[in-house]
Amino acid sequence: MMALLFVILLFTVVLAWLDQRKLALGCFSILILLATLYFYHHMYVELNLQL
Amino acid sequence: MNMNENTRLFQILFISHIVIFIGILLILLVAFGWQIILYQLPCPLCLLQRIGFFCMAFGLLMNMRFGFRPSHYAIILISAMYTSLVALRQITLHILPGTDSPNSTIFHWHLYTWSFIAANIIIILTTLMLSLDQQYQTNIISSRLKLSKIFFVILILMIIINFVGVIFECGLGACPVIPTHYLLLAGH
Repeated sequence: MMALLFVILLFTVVLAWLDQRKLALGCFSILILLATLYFYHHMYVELNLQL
Repeated sequence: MNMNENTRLFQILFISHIVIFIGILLILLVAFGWQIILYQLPCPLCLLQRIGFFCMAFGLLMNMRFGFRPSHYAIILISAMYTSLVALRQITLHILPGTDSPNSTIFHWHLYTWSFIAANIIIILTTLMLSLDQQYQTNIISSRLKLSKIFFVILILMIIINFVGVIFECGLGACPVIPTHYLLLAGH
């Protein structure tokens, strides 16, 4: 999952490098959404472990 | 505001972007150096903070490459807020006596504390920069295209190095909550 986030990040930056601004912005939106989901998932798992 | 003042504003903003970008690169280099030299593997929250810093650098480069736009500043702000939130979560995990992180510190503070401070400084600086209305009225096209392209290549290389590190540490699945060794090297 973390590897997937880095792949999307790489894809986003490469798209911007290739002057595909709108596609890069779209990829960034997906990336920040997935990163937020991963964060909440991680927090949920940790809270369960503590309980 | 005349053309000369616009040009000066553009130059000041461009230099500010370069300085912040280099600062972010240094943070990421220190974090990766920590991982390689001291063999202190990053936890999932640490890796999420790295992604946040990469996204901030991406937002800065978008401004340098495509011109100053509110949407690019929004990328920096949302990434900095995300990093700040993740770092704050990590601080609260280790806030009680006896729950201190075993990892090394810099000037008595852990990396996640520095990450929280850095993210908040970037939020303040970005807010100040985006509030300058004149930058959106100017039609100056970046003549420093080559420089931004070079920065893009540096950022891409940094992401690839970190990606390889993640693959070695976590494989393709979810990262362990407390990583102790590289999963891919475990069999050797």
